[in-house]
Amino acid sequence: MERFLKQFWWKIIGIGLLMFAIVSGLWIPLYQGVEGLSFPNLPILNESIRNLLFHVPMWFSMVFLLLLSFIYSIAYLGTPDRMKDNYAVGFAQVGVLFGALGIFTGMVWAKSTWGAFWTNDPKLNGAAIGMLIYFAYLILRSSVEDEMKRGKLAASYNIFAFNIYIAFIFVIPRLTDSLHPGNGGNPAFSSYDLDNTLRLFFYPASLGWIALSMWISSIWIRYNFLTQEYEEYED
Amino acid sequence: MKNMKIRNIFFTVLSLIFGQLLWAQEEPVTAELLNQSNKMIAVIAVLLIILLGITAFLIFMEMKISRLEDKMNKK
Amino acid sequence: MQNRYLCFMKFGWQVLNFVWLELKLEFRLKYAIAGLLMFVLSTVYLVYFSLEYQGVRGDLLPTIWSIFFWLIVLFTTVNATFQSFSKLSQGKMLLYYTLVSPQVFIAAKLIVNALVSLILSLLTGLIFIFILGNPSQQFAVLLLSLSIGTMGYSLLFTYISAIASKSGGNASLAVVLGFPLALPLLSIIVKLFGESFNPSLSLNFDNNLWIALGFNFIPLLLALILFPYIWRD
Repeated sequence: MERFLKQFWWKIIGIGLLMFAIVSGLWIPLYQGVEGLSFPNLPILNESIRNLLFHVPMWFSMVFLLLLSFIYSIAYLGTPDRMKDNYAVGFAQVGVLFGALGIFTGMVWAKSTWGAFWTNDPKLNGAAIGMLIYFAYLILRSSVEDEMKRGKLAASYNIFAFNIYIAFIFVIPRLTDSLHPGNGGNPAFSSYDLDNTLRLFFYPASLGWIALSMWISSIWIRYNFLTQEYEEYED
Repeated sequence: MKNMKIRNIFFTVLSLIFGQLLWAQEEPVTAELLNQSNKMIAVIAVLLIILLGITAFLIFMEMKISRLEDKMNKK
Repeated sequence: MQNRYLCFMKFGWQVLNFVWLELKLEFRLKYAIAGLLMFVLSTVYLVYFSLEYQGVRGDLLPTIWSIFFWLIVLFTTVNATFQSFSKLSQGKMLLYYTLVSPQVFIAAKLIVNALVSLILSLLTGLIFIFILGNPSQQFAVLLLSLSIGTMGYSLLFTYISAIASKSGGNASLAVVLGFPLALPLLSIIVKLFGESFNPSLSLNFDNNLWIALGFNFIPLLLALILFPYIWRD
């Protein structure tokens, strides 16, 4: 993993995919009854459907980073090691950052389609609760002085929190009414919202965002590790 | 299916190049107006510049951190 | 096979013994339980007076009833579970290290806390009904959602309190760590609880009940798996 994070090829591919997503997502027209490359023209969404290439992948990358953080926490409980703890906290922090970005893009989208920045939607509440959970994780880390103890407590809290959070965001929106697609009778992406053309651009965009988030978190983690080592060296 | 995808990609690239010419005669909706008045290009260009700026910053940070890591390891 | 069965029996026996010991300790320290009851009574009276002086007690909305009720139950549960860890002294902890395995310890704690907070929340419910009236039309649904919700909280907060007390923090750290995690369960339980105010159940009731039970099961399982790692310093 460490070696993989230092390699350059996937970062270049990710940035390329993001450039592709920006250009194609803003350039391709909506379907106007003419054959050719076009995005679906849906009644409420209209032009805002282009946000699909930005808002949804941000959530994907957040969940992906939190999953990585969860895996590193499990590894830390197996064999405690400072680097693993560093990875766990770094991925969680950048995951929270991407969650905040997802909330902002979602708010803009919600304003133009549902008419308000914040609606009482289960997915929105799930997102807000997720942010709160990971803030609590960071508070727990800052409240313990001893490094070994901090690592253990934070790792066990992270595992605990991730399970509950994932259960919440994947189970609850499916069983109550929601404005998001795929919930409470609204058709899911897979049925017709996400048609083949859109899918052709959506998956590369998701990969690109995930690559960018991984890159940012790898730099953030290495920076933090370097700072720690330097402080110890100074002492 | 595979042919369709290849065709789609081909069309994408083609339309990216000739997009201006191909869709210039459509009925004007918002994006079309933006396209016609070249404003969409400006939006895309600004977004690309921001993205490239972030990339440059990340590369700069990565190189700097690698150098510092080497230095740290030597000590 | 035989051996595993015996092991399980032994584990269950140890847990039962430990639960009995803990319950005896819990009720011998009368000030702890009495303090929680005082907390419940005084907050209920606060609610009562504030409603009475506004003149809205007569036509109290069931929603408001349920909001006050869950706030009080939530804080009582947090206090009850947190003090079960914070009152353990260092010496007693050392004694437990030598006597039992971590799984037995946490299983007993989970059971004791679930029982204690179940009793406390049922008492709270009784006091509420006695003082503020009974708005429910389906009393069985109220009781069911009340017990599932309280058990879920206490299981969750038992583990959170273990983390908070290990980190040397105070009760407010347990609140900070636990409340975001309790919100998913809270959202579903409030929904279930609200159905007792209607004359008939909605179609989603079964589904929501299973989710609520699932949210009881997740903390239970995770606490049993994770506690051995944070048990020793």
